[in-house]
Amino acid sequence: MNNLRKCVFPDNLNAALTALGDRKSLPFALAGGTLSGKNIGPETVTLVDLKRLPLAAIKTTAAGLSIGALATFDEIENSRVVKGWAGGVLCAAAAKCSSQLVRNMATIGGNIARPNAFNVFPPLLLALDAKVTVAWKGVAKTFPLAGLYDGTLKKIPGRDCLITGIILPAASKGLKCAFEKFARTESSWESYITLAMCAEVKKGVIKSARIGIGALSAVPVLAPKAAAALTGETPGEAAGKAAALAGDLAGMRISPKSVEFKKEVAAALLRRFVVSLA
Amino acid sequence: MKKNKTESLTAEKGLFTIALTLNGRPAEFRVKPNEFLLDALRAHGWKGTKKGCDTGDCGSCAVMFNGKPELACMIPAVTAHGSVVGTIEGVGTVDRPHPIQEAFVEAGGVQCGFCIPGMVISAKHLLENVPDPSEAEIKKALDGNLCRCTGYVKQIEAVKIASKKLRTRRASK
Repeated sequence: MNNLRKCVFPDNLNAALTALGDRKSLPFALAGGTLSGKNIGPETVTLVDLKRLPLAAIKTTAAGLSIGALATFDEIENSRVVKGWAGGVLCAAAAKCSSQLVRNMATIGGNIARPNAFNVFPPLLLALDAKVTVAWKGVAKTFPLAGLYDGTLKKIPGRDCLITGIILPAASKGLKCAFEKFARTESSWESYITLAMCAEVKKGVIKSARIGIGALSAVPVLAPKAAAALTGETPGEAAGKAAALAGDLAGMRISPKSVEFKKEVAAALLRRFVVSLA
Repeated sequence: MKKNKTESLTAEKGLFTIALTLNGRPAEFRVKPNEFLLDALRAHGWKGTKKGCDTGDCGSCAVMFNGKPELACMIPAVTAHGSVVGTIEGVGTVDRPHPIQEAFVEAGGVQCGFCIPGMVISAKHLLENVPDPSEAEIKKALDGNLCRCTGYVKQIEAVKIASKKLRTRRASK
């Protein structure tokens, strides 16, 4: 931050995008600042402080649950609307992040914008089939969350564009979900494995499942093999199929020293979730 | 047409001039580009806010920032422009301590005292929003304030005492 010469405090999206679009001013966008505040490099000349943007609203819409990118972890954890969505799994995930002081500052937009293995929201939002709204000069686009990480977007959030919100599809409201951050201690930021598990259960049968895996790679991934193994099963029978998750982990780059342990843990957590569906 | 309220600050001679409300009064700081709010506060004499880890882990730098306890070591000082900041100096004084501070002394919750300003800030915010918190709520509110002297038992007790004091005071008004 030594070379910082200007700080802009936009109060509307257009002003923020204009400030970011001025590439000659070498801008850097800052929201909650808990991940990136300490890592603003010497190349930054203009700091664009996003905190005054009106992007923190949490509300239900026809499309589903809309969460503004600047909603903090604390606001999400304590939102009545979020508590009533997918069994309140987003509240549970928000509560697993670091400390209250960090949760007061950190935003959901920042958490998904900067790929980091230990961020709590990316695997969960992936499992919930969330969509992300992103804006850049004159354009606002909504696309699946995975697009942030698989190159579809072709832009870097906070540099070329801004994440303005997250939309959970209406269909996700009634899903049975669980979020498990398997870490050394409750307050550990790092985790051995993070699992976000969502299932649609109708008449005692698992109609569909989506499982997001975090902590094992910089960006979250889905576990299609485990999801397929669970689909169509009754929770009791499906518990035995939790081992299929090992197949999803097989293709990931995990240290050989810990791969068996992580496979076992993942299967145990998924089994526990499946049993809870009964 | 809506008036554009987008503000911007430019550094002059390598320093930004920020205006904020500090402990209820207007204040103006000259801050370096790479300075964080914690360092800016301490450089301007507000040394009640402590510098512990400087990485957002220990909570000894907690201040009220626009209505919530936040980590001053994680807030670039320039971004505090236009903010409302509250430090431990705004909570109470040696002569007139706040009931929370009294409670920390009564409960024996202070040993070296380094973490206490941050704990008091967190506790004050909790008690303003949850006047009669459960032990779980107290633990959650203080979970970002690390203490290396104690086992947190007496500090949790202190918040319970403070809660009682504040409720009694409110009831008597």
